[in-house]
Amino acid sequence: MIKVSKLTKYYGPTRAVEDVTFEAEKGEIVGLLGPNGAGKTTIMRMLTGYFAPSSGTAKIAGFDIIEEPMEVKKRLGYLPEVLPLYYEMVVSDYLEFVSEIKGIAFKERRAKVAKALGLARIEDVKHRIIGRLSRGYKQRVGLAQALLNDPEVLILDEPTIGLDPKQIIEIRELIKSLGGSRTVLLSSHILPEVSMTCEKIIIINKGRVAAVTDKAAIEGKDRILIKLLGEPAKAAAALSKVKSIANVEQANEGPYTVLTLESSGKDDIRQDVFKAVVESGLVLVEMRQASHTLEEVFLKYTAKEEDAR
Amino acid sequence: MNAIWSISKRELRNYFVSPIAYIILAVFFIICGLFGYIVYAAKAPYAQLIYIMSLMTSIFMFLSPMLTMRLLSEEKKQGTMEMLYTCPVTVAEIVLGKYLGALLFFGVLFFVSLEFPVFLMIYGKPDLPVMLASMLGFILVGSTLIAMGLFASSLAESQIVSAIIGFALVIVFWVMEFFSSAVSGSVGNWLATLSLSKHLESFNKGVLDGGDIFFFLAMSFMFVFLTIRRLDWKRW
Repeated sequence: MIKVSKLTKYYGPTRAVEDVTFEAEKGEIVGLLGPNGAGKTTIMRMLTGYFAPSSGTAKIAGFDIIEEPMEVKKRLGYLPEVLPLYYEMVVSDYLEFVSEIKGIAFKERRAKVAKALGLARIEDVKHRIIGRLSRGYKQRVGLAQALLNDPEVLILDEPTIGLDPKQIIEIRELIKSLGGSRTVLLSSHILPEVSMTCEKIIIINKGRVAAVTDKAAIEGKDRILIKLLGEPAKAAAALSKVKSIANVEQANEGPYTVLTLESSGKDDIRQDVFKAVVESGLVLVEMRQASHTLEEVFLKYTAKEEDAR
Repeated sequence: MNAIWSISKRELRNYFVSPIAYIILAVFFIICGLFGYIVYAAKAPYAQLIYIMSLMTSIFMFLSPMLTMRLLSEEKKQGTMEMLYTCPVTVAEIVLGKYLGALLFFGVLFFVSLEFPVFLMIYGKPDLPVMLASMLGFILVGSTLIAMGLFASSLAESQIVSAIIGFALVIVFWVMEFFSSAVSGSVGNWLATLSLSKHLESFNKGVLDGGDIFFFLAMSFMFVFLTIRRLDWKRW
């Protein structure tokens, strides 16, 4: 559905994006993950035709973004990071206007607007002025705008930024429900945001693709954090019996000892860890899978990249 | 085509949701009415539209940058330009829609200003051809001023900056004749031909000069074209 090849963008002499190549299949939810200023927005702006790439190209729904931009735009829904809303307009008038701009035929307009209102769950505010809505609702109006033309490809730039936790969960659910029939490309600088919604994750760093990975690799199924009560030395001895532990980090938290274990294999080591701890007579007060932080993920992948060179 | 009409409709409506339309209309007609009264009372009993028409033109000259400053600057600042650019519409359609929207507002202003000729017809016997010619002149110069303002609006993200640039453009083209007298030879003559006020003279005399009509249409076209080029160029 989305096929990006060697996309490059220079702002004057400054390189914003270089040689970005990736693909997204139909129905996939793909996340662009990277710190602010990594080039995520620039990539999205090139894909949506906001501006042209310096070199390289991309195909969306089979159409080239440079050769046939109009065909691409007809099949695309885009939610920019800065919400493209006319604050003085009423929600339904705004959606009506956007559907006119998107070239939706007069006969279909009413149905399409109603459908978008439904998908974004904003029927209850359709008669209100956009400027007076809460941030969460504004975000949804923006999303409704992107959905108006039943796009095959949906591009969402930081869709959860500035929302409160409850709204974040709602928008996340909404995006998940939109996948399936549509291809969704979203960006974020927050790791859990991407790992919770996307199957495929593209890590962008300094304008380049640092890694293409998936949910499991980032969520850190291979790391376990345990909290113990008892003598730390005993714990170390007990855990040394468990085979596939590659690395142990130890820290103290009040009376507790906190150990971060990294497994070397793909097997779940939690059973073995639990048994070892109990046998050694220590008290296990907590055990959980520890996710990586964005910094760790970056270090991991950017280090790999450096090694490869 | 439909997109142009949608954009201009939204634009016209936008003028009337914000206070700007009412302020411009109020200021325009208060000043025109007031000065018009003074002029006609002082210059006395001539039933000629020319006085009020030249007043309207100079007042609109001052107000037009305020009318046009929003057009593209606001879209850029609000982030809505990003949506327009990523919808299946061309830059030309966006710009023409904006221009048409502002022209429609100018149309409203012109329609209200018809009160002046109407009163003149009631209380006097104005020379009809002269009156109609000067009205056409007002429409043409108004469209040109709006095209200039539209171009100015494409240059800056801040409305104030757009208004100042627009105002500077209007002034420069208004007093071009004055500049031209400072420059001798063919360059001076050439500059003089760019003067808006010079080309308006024939209309106020009741003469429809094809060259003058063409001048205003060409100026409008040029500034709309420059706006399109400017926006296109920024994207590459």
